Amino acid sequence: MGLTISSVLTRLFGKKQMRILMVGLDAAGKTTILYKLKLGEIVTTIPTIGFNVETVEYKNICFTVWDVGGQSKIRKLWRHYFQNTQGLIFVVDSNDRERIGEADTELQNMLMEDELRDAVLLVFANKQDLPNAMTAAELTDKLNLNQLHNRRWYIQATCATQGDGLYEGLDWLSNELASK
Amino acid sequence: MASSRKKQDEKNLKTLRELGAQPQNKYCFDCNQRGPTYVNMTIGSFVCTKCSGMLRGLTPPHRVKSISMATFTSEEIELLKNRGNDYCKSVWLGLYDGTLPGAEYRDEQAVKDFMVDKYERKRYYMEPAQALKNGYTKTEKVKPLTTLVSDPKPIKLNGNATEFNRKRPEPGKNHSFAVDFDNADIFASNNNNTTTTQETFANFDDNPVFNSKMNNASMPTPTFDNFNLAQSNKVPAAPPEDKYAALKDLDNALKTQNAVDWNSSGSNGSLYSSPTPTGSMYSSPSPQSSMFGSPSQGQFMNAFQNQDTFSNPFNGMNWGSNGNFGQNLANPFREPPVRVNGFAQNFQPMFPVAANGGAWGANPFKVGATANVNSNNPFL
Repeated sequence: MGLTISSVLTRLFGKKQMRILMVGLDAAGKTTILYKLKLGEIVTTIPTIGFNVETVEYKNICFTVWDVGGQSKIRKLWRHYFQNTQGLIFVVDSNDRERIGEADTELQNMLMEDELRDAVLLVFANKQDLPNAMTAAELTDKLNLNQLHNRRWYIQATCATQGDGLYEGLDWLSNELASK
Repeated sequence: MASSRKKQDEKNLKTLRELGAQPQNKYCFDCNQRGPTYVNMTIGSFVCTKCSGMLRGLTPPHRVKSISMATFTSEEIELLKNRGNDYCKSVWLGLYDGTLPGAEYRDEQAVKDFMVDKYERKRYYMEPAQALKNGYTKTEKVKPLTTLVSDPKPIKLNGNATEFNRKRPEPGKNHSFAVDFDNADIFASNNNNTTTTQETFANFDDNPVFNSKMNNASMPTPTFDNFNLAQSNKVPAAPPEDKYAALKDLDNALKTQNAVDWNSSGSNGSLYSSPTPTGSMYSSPSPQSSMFGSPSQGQFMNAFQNQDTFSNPFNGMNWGSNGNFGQNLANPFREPPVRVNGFAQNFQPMFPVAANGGAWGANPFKVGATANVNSNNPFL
């Protein structure tokens, strides 16, 4: 009986949890995004060694966001964070045309992992404020997102330093969580 | 295939660590902190972690890579080899005449503001070609001698103190080398002559003192300047030289009486004398190569190393491993000493400690466990 009441209360007032893993090449803007979401301000970051984790509440959902360093030699550590990940945020530096292929390779390799089979994919096309930035459409093509099978995905143009697009991304994630 | 790439990576990393152990690269280019852990691939400098973070935030952002946590291509290594903090100083701080902050300089905002001035506004920027003209590349090319045998107080020669200092990070070392050099006796000439040669070779651009210093060589300033700027200027340099040829002969004759003539000082004479009839050491068609061409260089080095009296500051250097020694006449000292290793190891612990300690200590699966709370959640 008590259990029933508590579950009803949780249903009415409780918060949903969502575990998010945020990865991407180094200097894509992951840590800046994390702290912009958490603090609402831009902090000067240093290249992440290891990870940062913060909880962000939005629309009554508690997002636990893991931001893992993206330098080449520590990318192999990403897989240790895959378990129970419900949403994968892949951050791309839209201005970095040189390394978009590298980003694509990392993304595709990750999506082959079994532990991520149920995770939805949100791509942040970050640094849209820079003059030479690729558009979301261009990135969709370059990251071969249209070739993905059995994957819910969404690409969102963002500018972390202005905060543009970040909450739109979380909106999509929350909708995905609700529709599951 | 994979193993060969791994091998290449290891080789690149080794080269990178060696580059990082060169004196000029031992301090952060932007804040002077000791022991850079990152490289700025946009300009080719060595920087600390903090500055690497700030460099990423510039507009446009600079690309930084961790020395220990990134992989480098051979091209990137080549770029770093050709640049480094000395080069960056002569280019990005080419017009800077204030004093550079010392190692105690820790005010983050000040460092950031200076970065904006330096990179975004390019306030102190000097075109690489211009920086080269001012002596950077030339100095770099002949680094062995200029580093080794420069006057401990070369500033009066140059007239531009900051510029000169920048090229000689370790005057003390140079000094001891210069002394040993003389002791080595390979020049069998008076010290004044030796030093003068080296100094002028090191840097004689725009040097007002030069004429007086060089009187014993009877060289007209114009000739010397021409020689300086580029080898392509040799032709115009020739006529005025001839004009003074008589004087030079006289001078040579006097010198022979005084001390041992350059040309007569055994095999070493070839190092500093030229094959031209005037006998002037500065009239050689290709002075640099005559001084630093591989044969002479080899001679020089051998002579050098064989001296008993010589307390070689470069003893720690691994000559054998220096792949460029033969071909790269420009600079046998470019490949850094092996003693690097002690220093390089400082980088090693970073990865395991930070990544493992951090990641595993904090248990990334913990939240995974809390996520199971969702099972209580009727919405799921």
